[in-house]
Amino acid sequence: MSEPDSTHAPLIAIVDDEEDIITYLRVALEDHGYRVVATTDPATAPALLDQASPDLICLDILMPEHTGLALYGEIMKRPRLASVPVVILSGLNANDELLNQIWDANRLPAPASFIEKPVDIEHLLRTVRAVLGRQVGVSP
Amino acid sequence: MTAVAWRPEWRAELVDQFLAGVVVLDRTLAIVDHNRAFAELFGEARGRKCHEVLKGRSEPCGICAALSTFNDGRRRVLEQVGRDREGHTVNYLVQVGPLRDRAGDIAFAAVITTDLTATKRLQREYQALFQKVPCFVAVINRDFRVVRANEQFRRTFGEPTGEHCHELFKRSPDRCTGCLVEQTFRDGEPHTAPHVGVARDGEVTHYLAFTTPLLNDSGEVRHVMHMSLDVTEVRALADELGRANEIRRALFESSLDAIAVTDENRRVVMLNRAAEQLWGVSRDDLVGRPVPRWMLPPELAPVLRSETGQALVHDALVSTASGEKLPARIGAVALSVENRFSGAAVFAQDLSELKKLEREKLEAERLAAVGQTVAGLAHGIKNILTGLEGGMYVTSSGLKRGDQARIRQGWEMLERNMSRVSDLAKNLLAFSRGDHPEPKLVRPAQIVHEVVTLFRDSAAQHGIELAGTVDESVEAAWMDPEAIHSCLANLVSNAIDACLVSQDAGCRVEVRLREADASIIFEVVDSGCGMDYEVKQKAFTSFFTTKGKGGTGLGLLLTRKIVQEHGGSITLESTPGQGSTFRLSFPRTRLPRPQGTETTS
Repeated sequence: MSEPDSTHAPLIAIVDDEEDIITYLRVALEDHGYRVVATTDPATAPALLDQASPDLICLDILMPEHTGLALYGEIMKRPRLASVPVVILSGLNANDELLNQIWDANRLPAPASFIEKPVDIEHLLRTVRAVLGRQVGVSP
Repeated sequence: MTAVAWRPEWRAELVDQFLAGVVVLDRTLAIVDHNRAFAELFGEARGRKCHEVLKGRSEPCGICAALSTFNDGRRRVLEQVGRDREGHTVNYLVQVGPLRDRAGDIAFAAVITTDLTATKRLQREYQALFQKVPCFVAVINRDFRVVRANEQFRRTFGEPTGEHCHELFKRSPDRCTGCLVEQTFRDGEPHTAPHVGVARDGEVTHYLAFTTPLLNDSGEVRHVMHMSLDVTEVRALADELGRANEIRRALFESSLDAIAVTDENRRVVMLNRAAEQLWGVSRDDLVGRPVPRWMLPPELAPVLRSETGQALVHDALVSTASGEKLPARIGAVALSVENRFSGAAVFAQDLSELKKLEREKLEAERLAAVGQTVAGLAHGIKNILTGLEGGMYVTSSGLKRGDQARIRQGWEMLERNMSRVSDLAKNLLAFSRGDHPEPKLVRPAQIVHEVVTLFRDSAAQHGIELAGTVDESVEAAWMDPEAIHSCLANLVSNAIDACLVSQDAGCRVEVRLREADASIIFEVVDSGCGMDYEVKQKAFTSFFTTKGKGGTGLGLLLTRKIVQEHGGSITLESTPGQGSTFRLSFPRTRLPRPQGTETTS
């Protein structure tokens, strides 16, 4: 499989309250040549993301007290992050009625992709590749 | 016996025997002679003028019967009013007749005076009685016409002017069926019956009628006296009483609560249907007999003996005739009539159905909670699964690269998530298991001390002070000590976590015990991070957890289940940044009964 050049390796940001999930994704993504920045704290995440300027964000939206969802809205509002593709990770189904209601009520844009937990790592890697490829395709 | 011939000189003696006064007047109206009876009434009067003696007048009366008789020789009878020897008014009847001499001239007048004073008074009294008696009195003749009527009659039915009695009484042209007057005319006996009349103003009047025959001198019934007593108001009162009685009877009979009423000698007076059902007895067997001893809990006995006004016993076990014991709420209240103890009313509510419903509700709540949270649980399970998968991935990645640190990292992930699965499974089992508390008589203070001792050291290691504030006088109660222990342990563990999150120095957790209003109250108070509204709302309702890695979201749910099974309630007060207070309140009357006293059903 073709792996990205390590010096220009895309930077993937992970926000999830589960340390274990971060470890899992970090190992898997790093094994496939991506660089990874991660946090479990939704409160400091926007600043971290702003500073890191990742190429893609993996975001768990059902963290305690729905902060993941608020964080998604926050990311979408930041000019430097608005164009960064977001892959949503969630224990909820993408068709979950409540989730869709919240999405509509907050007029949130659709994410680049939605991956249901438990995460199938091959599926995640395929998705990351596809999203980044699309991104590369449209960027100058 | 020898016959004795009548001698005319005895006549004077005869006249003296008369009860009536006899006076002889001459033409000058002077009293020539009188008998003894006259003297007794008017005094010695020979030689005095009759008008002086009878009326205290110096001149003859304007219309003098004696003078008229001297003139025309005719007999006269008339009523007079005069004065007796003591000056009191006297009613008397005067009969005047001429006494002639041999020539046939009227030489004297004989006057006979009959004292009517007593008769007159009687007459007046009867008249007043007739007129004023507070009932309707009418004298009815053989044509059924009213010939006399008293005031009350006239006021209510109008002035009789020869009408038939039924026209006056009932405004009816026809004779009444079962006419009392007719019966009395026929048999000469008094009769009585209730009747409905129509007053002058058209108002319906209920009255009780009596008829009495009035005999003439020949002993024939010429008139009937008809007396009737207005009972309209009595009737209205009786109707009202009847209605009130009917309502009372219906309430008593259809009451879902069992009611038994006893008299002052503890004999059963009344028993309703619910009571028959609850106690399994028949009122025919029980009414009139003393209350059987087995029927009532001993707490009620004083009320039935009048010693106390009332008693209420919550959730007692009531024995039935067949020896079964049913959970019931039972009470008694003493009844008094004019401040005298006259018995008691015992009321009881069969709680077996309610208890069953309560159990079912608790079961349903538990099932609902489980069902409702399966979706929430999915999230937790998915996270654990991801953790397990991640552990395997990281381990195998480490193995591939020969990276020992990564292998260890992966292995720790596996261990951690395995233990989370195990915790989750245990809690879930404990929660879904329908096991009942096993109450023992324990001192609540003991449980608090144990929990505080258990957590004190680990709390201290994190710089958290854990203290117990215990009212040692709270008496022993029937509780499942292990279950209550795990409730308090769960709350204390949560409180310590809240303190860890708050990161404030000198954080404190306090476990309190007190008793108020016959309820045992445990409180777990922390000065930790507190909760916002949304978290508070969800705290008990699902597998909700704010602990991320650490929580299964079942602890509080389990705590609530245990509290409910002890008949208690759990409340939560919390302010973000200021800490939380969990309060477990157990009313003593609702605590589970020790084994063996619960019904077998």
